[in-house]
Amino acid sequence: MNLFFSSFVWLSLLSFAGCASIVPSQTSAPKHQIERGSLLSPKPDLSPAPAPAPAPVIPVPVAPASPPPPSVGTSAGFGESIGSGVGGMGHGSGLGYGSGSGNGRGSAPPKSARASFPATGQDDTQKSMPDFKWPPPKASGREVIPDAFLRLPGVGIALFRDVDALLRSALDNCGYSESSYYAVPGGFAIATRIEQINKNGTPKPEENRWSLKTAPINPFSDFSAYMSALFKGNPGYYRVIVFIITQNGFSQGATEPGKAEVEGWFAGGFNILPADVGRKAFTDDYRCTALIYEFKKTPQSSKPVIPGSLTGKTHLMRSGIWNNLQPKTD
Amino acid sequence: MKQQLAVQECKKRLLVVWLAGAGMLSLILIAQSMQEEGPYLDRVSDAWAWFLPNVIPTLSLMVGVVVKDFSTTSDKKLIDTFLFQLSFWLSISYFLVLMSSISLQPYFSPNIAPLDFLKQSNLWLGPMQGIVTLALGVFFGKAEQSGTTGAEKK
Repeated sequence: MNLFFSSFVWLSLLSFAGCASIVPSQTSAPKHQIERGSLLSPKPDLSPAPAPAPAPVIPVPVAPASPPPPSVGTSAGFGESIGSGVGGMGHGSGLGYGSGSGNGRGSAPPKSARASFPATGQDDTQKSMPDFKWPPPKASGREVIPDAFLRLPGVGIALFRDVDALLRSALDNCGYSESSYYAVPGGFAIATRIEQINKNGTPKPEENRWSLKTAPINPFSDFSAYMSALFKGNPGYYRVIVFIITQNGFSQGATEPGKAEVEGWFAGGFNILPADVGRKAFTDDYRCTALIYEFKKTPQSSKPVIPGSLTGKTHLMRSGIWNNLQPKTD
Repeated sequence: MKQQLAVQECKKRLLVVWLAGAGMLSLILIAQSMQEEGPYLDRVSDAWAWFLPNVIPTLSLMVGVVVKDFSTTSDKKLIDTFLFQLSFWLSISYFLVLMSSISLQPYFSPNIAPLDFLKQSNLWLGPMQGIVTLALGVFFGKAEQSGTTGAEKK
């Protein structure tokens, strides 16, 4: 009986091993080839496609060996609007951007816009500061920073880099040591890293502040918060602050940003303000506007809080940025 | 010699445990359901659909037996203490686990939807409910038999 049983088991194993070794060799290899050819990589006969008709922009020679700008894929269409709207030439500010008339849905290829930067003799990395989506997505709150906060007394005309230094200093003091730089029409933008906040706008403690996961509530350490979470749920609140320095007035876009998009702002921008941008004069025409993007995350979904439960100024005050930007009067 | 307790008293104690446990959990669920943006959001009915099968079948059976016994059983019936203790403590343990499934969700898994956590808890609540129901079934079965035994002893 045992002999019969063991021989049956061995036969089953052998037949199973035989199936496993035969079936993939017959079916899976061609399947992979088909998938590779059709989905994962373009077919060889598609790559040398005829070049599209030349766009109606002034061609400016670009160094042939230069790699494509890393931001083209992440910028959400502002470059396209430049190409189609104003022919890719800057107006006044010298940053190579238009006046912001595009809506991100232009038809000219972004490379045309890239190529239309004024030749400054700098390398391409500096030219291709990523574009912030323009007009900016609908925000939870907004506050125009008072001009006096960004102009040092006794200094004539400040430069962009001076404003950047002031903002960076204030952000650093408030724990925002990481932020990203973007180009906007006529200026630049600084986006902070997404942070977890309390419902009243104050940042979470450092160990939870930069985590995208909602922190558990210990009933023994914070009983009232625990009871609130038990009966009202335990949503996480997240915030990104974007400072936009530009001389152009702007309105917000019609669409609300997704949480993934807002999270991507931190990784998609430059780590520093490029030197050529930093040398621009921060004249009296320029203003700095803070846009607050607040999200409420439940285990089921993440939704932007629009309009926010707090004003933009309250967010800035609760984050500490407002107080750090205020000029000291001693 | 085995220690014995009055059947009527044991049944009452078990019923009190179940009524108190079910009542407390119901109150928590009602309070959660009445919140505008409570933990279950628009899936409150799913939360109740999880809770009721965990409690109501056993509870209704116990209520039925106890109500019936009020008119038929004499106070003199006795039953083995062990069976009562087993049913009693298993019932209490079951309600503690049931309650922790609802109340400790913010602590253990804040990133899982509360309702998903409740459904997940069926993994351990199901077998536990089976054991508790089995113990209660044995207890009530023995209680019926012990009626004659008690009378014979008398």
